[in-house]
Amino acid sequence: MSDTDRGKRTHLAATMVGVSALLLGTTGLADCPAAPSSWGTYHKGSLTMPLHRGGAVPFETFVPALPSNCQGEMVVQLSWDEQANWVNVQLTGQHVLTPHPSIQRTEGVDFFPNPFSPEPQSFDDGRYQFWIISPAQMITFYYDPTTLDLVGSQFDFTTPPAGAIPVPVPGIKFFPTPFFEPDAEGNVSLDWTFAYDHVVRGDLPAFAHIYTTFPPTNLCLANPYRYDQSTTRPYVSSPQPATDALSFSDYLENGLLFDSTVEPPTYYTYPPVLTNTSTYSGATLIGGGIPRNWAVDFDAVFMNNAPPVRPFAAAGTCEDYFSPQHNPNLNFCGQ
Amino acid sequence: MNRTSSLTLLLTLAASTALAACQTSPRGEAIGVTQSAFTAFNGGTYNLHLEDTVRFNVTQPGANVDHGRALFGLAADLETSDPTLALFEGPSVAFGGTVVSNGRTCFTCHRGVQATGLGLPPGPLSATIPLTDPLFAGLEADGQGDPDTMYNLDQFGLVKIRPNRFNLARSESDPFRQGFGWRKSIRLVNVAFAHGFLNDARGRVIFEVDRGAAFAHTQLSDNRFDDLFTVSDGNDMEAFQFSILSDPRLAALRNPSDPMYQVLVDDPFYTVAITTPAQRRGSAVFQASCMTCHNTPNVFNNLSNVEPLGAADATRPPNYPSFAPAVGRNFNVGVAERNRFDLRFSHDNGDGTYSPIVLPLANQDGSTTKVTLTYDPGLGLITSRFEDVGRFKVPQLRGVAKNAPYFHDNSAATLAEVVDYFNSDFYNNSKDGSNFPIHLSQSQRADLLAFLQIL
Repeated sequence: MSDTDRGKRTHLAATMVGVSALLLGTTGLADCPAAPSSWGTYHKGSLTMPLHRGGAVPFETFVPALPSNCQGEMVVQLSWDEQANWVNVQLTGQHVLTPHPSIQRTEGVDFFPNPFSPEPQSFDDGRYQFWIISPAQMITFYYDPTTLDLVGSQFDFTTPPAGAIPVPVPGIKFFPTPFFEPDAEGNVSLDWTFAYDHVVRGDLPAFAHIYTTFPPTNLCLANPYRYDQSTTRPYVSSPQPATDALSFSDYLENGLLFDSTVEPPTYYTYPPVLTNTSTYSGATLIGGGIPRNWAVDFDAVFMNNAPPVRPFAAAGTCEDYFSPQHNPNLNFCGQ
Repeated sequence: MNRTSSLTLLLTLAASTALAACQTSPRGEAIGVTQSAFTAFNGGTYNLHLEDTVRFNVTQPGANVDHGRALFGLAADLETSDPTLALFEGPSVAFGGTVVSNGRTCFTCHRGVQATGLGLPPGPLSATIPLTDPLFAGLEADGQGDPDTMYNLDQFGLVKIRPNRFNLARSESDPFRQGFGWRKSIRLVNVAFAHGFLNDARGRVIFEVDRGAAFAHTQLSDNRFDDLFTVSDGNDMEAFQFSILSDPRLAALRNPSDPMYQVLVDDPFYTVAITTPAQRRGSAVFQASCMTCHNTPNVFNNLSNVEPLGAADATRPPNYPSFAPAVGRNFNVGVAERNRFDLRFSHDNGDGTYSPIVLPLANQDGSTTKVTLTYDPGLGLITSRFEDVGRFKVPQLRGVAKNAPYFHDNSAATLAEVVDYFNSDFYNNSKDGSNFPIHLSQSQRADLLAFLQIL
C-alpha cells in the first residue's frame, strides 16, 4: 500500500466519520450499533459490517457465551485497491472476547465427531481467527454405489472412486487472518493487509483457501429438491496450495460472510482447517447484513428461498449454544 | 368483496428491550447517493455490493431466441398465442406426481409485443380478452380460492402474488408464506436492462422468474416441479425476452465492445428525439427531479447492480448469484401505502372469513417490528427487513406514454396522474421519497409531461 493511497484512504475515512458523527448527533443515534455500509467498486472501495453473536452460524456449530452478556459486537472494515494490490482488514470490538478461551464440548450433545470435518472436542488456551468466506463453485461429492454413503469429494481423490456416484453440491470458500488475541479487557484490534491478487492464509501463507459445505451423508437421506428435508453434515477440504490462490475479486463478486472461530493452541491437523465454533459473524449476502438477534436461515439460502433470515434461536440468552445437526430424520429409500 | 377500511399499517414494537432507546430514524438511512459515474454508497438494507455501472445480465452461450419464444407461448408473429411448446406439464419427481397445466403460458399475462409491449391491456380486461381465455379460466392458480382474485384482475389488471408460496420449509400458516400482494403484469419490453425482476425485484435472474411463474400460474398446489423446467429452456426464454427492445439502438448498452456503447453511456438522452422547446425544458426537469432514481442512460430505470449479474465476459455461475434478493435498488415512494384501490391484504381462510397477516420484521438494531398487512409489503416480504416494507423496483421509462396504467398496482391511469403523484405530499412524505423531494411548478409539470410523451 502506498503512502498516497494510505493518505487518501485515511482522508476519506476521516471525512465519512466526521459526516457520520454530525448526522448521528442530530438524530440521537450516536449510541447505536454500527450500521453496515459500503463504498466504491470491486476494484477499489471499502465495506463496514457489524458482526453479532449467532449472525451466520451453520449447522453443528458451537457458539460459546461471550463477554458483555453476549450483547457486544465486533466491526470489520475491509478496504481494497486492486491496482495498488492490497486489501486491509480492520477488526475491532470492545469487551467482546475472552482471552485464551477454553472450549468444552460433550460428545452427543454439542459435539459429534465427523471424519469430514476433523476438530478437537475440547481444548484450553484457545486463540482466535477471523475468516472471510464466500460462495464458491459446485463441489463434486462421491457416494458408495452400494451403501450410498458419502465417501469424499473431488478434493479427496485424484480420480473418482470406481463406481462412485457423483453429486454436485454448492460450495463455500474460506480464508483466515493471522491468529489474534483480545487484551485483558476483551478488546480486539486486528489490522492485517494482504495482496489483492493472491489471497493466502494469514497464519500460513503457503496455503490459500479451504472449501466447505454441507453434503448429504447418504443419498437415501437426501431429497435433491428439498435441502430442508435432507440429512447433511459439515465437510471441509484441506487448504489449497498458495499456487491456487484466488483474487480478492473472486470473494467480492460472490458476496461475503464473516466469522471468528476459536482455534486450539496448536494445529489439530496439518495443513490446518478450522473448528466448528463461532463467536461473532455476519454476511453481506443478506441486504444490509444480519441484524443483532437475527441469523441467516441456511435452509432458505441453500434453496434460494425467501426470507433469508430468522430470529437467532439463542437471542436474549447468554449461555453456550449449539446449532443443531441438520437431520430431519427422513429416509427416501422407503426403509 | 371484503375489504379492510384501514389505510395504515398497524405497527407494534415487539422486542426492543435492550436497545429500546436506539431506534431507527427514517432519515438515518443512506440511499444510493451516487459518488461518481461508477461508484455508489450503500447503507441500510441495500446490498453492499451494488455498483452504478452500466452493465446488464448476460444471456447464456448457445441460448436460442426462437426456441425461447416458442417456450414463452408466443407465435412467430410476436403478437398471437402459440402454446404448443409452452406448457410445463408431465410426470415430475420434484412435484411428486404429474403436473397438469391449466393452459396458461407466459403469453397469457404478457401478450403481443406491439399490442401491449408484452404486458396486459388496461382494465377492465374482460373488455378485450374473452372470459374463456386461460387468463381467466386459470385464475384459481393465482387466487387459490381468494374471492377478490377475479375482480382485481379484471378491473385493475392485478394478479394475486404470494412470493414465498413455494418456500416449503415454512409452514402454510407462516405469515411469510401467507403474505401476498396484488401486482401488475410488467410489460417486458426492455426487460434486458432490469436489475432484479418482477415488481419487487426479487427475481435475481430471469431464469428464476420464468420458473417461478410456471410454478405459480399454471397449477393449484404449492408444490414445485423444478425438473420440468430445464436450465436450457430457461436460458432460451431469457434470450428471447432480452431480445425485445423498444429501440434497436439500445442493444449497444448491453455490449461494452460496441462502438456505440460509450456514446449511449455518455449521453443519457442520445436515443430520445427532443424536438420542441417544451421537451427540452422537460428533459432538464427530468434530469433534476427524476434521474436520481431513473438513472440508467437511455433506458431510465435504476442503474445499481451487482457484478455477477452483469459481467459481460462471464457465464452465469451454475448456482447463479448467491446474493439474497436485493440485486438492484428498490424504493418506497408511498404508492403501496396509498393503496388507492383499497385492496385487501388479509388471509383468506376459505370460509368467508379473513385473518390478519402479521409479519415479524427485523430492524438493524435487532428489534422486531410486527407489521399487520393492510397494504402491499413489497420487498419487505422477501427480505424480512422492516426498512424494505413498501419498496418496489424503479421501472424503465422508454415508451412510457404507451404503457399505462402505471405503478406496481396500476393505480395511476395517465402520465399526468403519475407526475401529480410525485408532486404530492404523499410522495414527498414517503419513506424514500422524502430523501428526494419533488416540487414542480405548473410550467415544470407541463414541460415534464411533454418530455415523458417522447421517451
